[in-house]
Amino acid sequence: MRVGLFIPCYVNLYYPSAGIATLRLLEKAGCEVVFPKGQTCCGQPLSNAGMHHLTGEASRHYRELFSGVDYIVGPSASCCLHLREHVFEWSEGPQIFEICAFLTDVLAMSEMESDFIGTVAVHQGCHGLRGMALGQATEEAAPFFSKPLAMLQMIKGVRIVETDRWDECCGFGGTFSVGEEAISVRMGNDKVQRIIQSGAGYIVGTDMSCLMHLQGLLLRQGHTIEVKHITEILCYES
Amino acid sequence: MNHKSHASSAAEFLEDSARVSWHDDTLWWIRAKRDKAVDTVPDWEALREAASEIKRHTLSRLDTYLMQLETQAIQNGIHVHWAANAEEHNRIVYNILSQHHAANVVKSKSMLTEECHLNPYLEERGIQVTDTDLGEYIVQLRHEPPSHIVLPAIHLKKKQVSDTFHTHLNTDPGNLSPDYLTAAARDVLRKKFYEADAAITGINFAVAENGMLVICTNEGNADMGMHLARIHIACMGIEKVIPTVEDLPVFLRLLARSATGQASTAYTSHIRKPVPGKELHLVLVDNGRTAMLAQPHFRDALKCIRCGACFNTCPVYRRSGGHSYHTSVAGPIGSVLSPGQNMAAHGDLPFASTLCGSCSQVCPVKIDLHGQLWHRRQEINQAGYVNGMKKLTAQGFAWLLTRPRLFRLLLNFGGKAGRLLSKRPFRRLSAWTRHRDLPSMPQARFDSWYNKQYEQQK
Amino acid sequence: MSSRNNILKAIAAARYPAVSRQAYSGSISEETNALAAFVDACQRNGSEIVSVEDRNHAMAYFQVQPDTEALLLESRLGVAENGAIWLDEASLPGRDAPFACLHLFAVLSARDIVASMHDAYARLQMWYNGPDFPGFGVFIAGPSKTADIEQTLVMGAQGAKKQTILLIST
Repeated sequence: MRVGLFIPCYVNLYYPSAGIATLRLLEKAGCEVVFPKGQTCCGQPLSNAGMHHLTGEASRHYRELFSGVDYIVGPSASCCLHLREHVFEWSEGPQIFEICAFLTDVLAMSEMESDFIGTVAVHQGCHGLRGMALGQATEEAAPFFSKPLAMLQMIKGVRIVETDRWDECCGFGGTFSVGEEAISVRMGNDKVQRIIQSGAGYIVGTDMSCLMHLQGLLLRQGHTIEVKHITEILCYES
Repeated sequence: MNHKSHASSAAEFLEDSARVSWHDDTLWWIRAKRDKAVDTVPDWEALREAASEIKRHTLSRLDTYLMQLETQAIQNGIHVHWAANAEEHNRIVYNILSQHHAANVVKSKSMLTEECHLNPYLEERGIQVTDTDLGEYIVQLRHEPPSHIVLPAIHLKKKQVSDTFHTHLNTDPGNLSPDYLTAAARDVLRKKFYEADAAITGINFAVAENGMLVICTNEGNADMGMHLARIHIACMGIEKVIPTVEDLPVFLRLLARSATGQASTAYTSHIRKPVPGKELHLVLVDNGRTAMLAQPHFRDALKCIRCGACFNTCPVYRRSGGHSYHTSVAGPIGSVLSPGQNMAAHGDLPFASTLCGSCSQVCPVKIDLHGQLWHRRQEINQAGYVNGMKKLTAQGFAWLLTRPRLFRLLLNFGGKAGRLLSKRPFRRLSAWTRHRDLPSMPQARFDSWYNKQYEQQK
Repeated sequence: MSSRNNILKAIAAARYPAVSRQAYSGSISEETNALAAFVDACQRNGSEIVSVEDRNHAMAYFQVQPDTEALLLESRLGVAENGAIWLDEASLPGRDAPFACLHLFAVLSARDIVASMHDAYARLQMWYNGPDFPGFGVFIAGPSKTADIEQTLVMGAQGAKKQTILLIST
């Protein structure tokens, strides 16, 4: 199976380790991975800011970049959701997966080799949780499941702590984070406080965008909790 | 726009951090009560689906059901009126009242009359209107709009209520007991009920097949009003009609549980005919609803049963308070509905959301609220309600997306600029860096790393 | 009448394919112990439950109760899932009565308790010959209540302050 590696712009710039870890996981699982050159930004910030009409060219660019692959897999549920809903518009063509969902649903992985040792709080970003159905949030009357959590539970050294209001939004929200700065910061601080109370040493998530927001607050306030993309935990080598 | 934007009102609301925590925790607690109530219903998701489908069906043949409702209501002895907009609604209500020389009116909760600004309209014409829901009574005394459709005074602390009652009802200063304050209001409102010439109520459901109106309250204020006064005027948006009696339990099982976590409101009243000698008027109001019905992206918002669950679950609403939405209906559903009525005034609201989707999943009638907010955003930009600079930046950004080399160049530049902005003297310059650092730049971008590792090996 | 026609015309102009009408397909709960569930729900909605042997016993209980402005009514339908009782015009001295009184007493036979609101409306439709409901009817689930002051629950907002169900349990 041919997998097209989708690296969102901010992961490319700020968090290459998440991209590298994603690539490693896919390769380790025996996938044929291609990384189409010429990826920029998928256009989600424009669409969510109400300027979807400006993204036609970008969407075509992305459809061309990924033509000929069976799957598009990336380390960001939010950007993958944008590809699925607004770039490929649920059309025939490559299936789009966030990396954890790809590992559980397509590759059916049941064990993970990772030397990671640490206490982690899992932040399940909303676009992944509700948009990409990576898990069951608390609003609906349906049995709980979480693909990211299931992956992490395969690793011996990982101790997962529960956080209060685990499925409440962190307040990033793309352009919301600057357009509604005050609320965004407050939501982030509330999330950070609850994670600190949980005793976690790491915040692990499926979306570095949420984590960049939380990390920004943590750094500014001098907290030592680290943020990590889930893939970095899943293929950690000491 | 003669009011502050949501973002700036929210920033003001957030200045009182302890108050925000209280507001947030209280509404979250109600959301938690809702979750518990949901757990007691074995087929909750099937109920939501059924409710959604009944509403979708009804909306798709709304004219048929409205005509059926009208015919049945008239047969029952109800006077039926139709209002195209808020102004006509207010005029109809006023005309009924003035024909009967009604000077004292009691009103129970109706978001429609809030939407139409009925109270000031009547007061300007010499009619005294008393809001009788306790929360609404409190905010009326304070000359404030309700901040929540189910919990109108949720933005207030008991000290403020006590002060307001001391001023207006002469209660003991400093007595903060909710029991005491509620009893004081009860005494005043009891008199009002017995003196009232007419009662105005909202409607939760109007059943087309038998012309029956269903009204849900916890306080019993709608009943006290409508049963004691000579004239009862019930006002409803046209989307409140449902086809049959059999549909009622589907909605009633969902409504109170979603709203407050109660299995039922204390009172679920069914009014089908006026008492002989009394008058019952039903006002059917459009006020933008048919326009919304014509918009495929937004018509589903007309399924709303006004339970307020989307308010309670919304992380933005909980931290910004209802007044920051500058509309009669706040929260996610208000942010969908209000721009449809006045885009210039309320175009900021669809952006007061992270699109987290919690509202859509909590909604008992399965409105895709965050999807609609997304579509509203598009509509608002298309209609030109976006400033020139923002538009230009967006166009430039869009142009870059198909030019990878240039994009990467600017990405690097942006990264470096971001680091600089994170430094103390420059932080104030951007909305990100005032309170948040940007991450440090890694040794190499992913694509550079990949080139080195993979491409050069070949 | 022009607004009426304009509204109906606007709806007709917006016409799109009808969404088919679907009957509620979820399971209508078969509460095995409706009585216990009813008692439980009453506890939550603030109703007091007093077990009585029969109607005479209920009358006797009512006659010695101390509250002024108390009202005794009879309900023929109770709902287990929310503790609501149904009262219609025929059983009321006036429509305002159950709201205006201070303490509402209602006699209800345990036999008349159904599991859910679906069951309740099915029974009402049977009584009223389908949709031919009376001029007024009401489900009452406990006394009047409010939590509008800092979410503190207070009984007796505008309607009755207390409610007692005199439950004939045989």
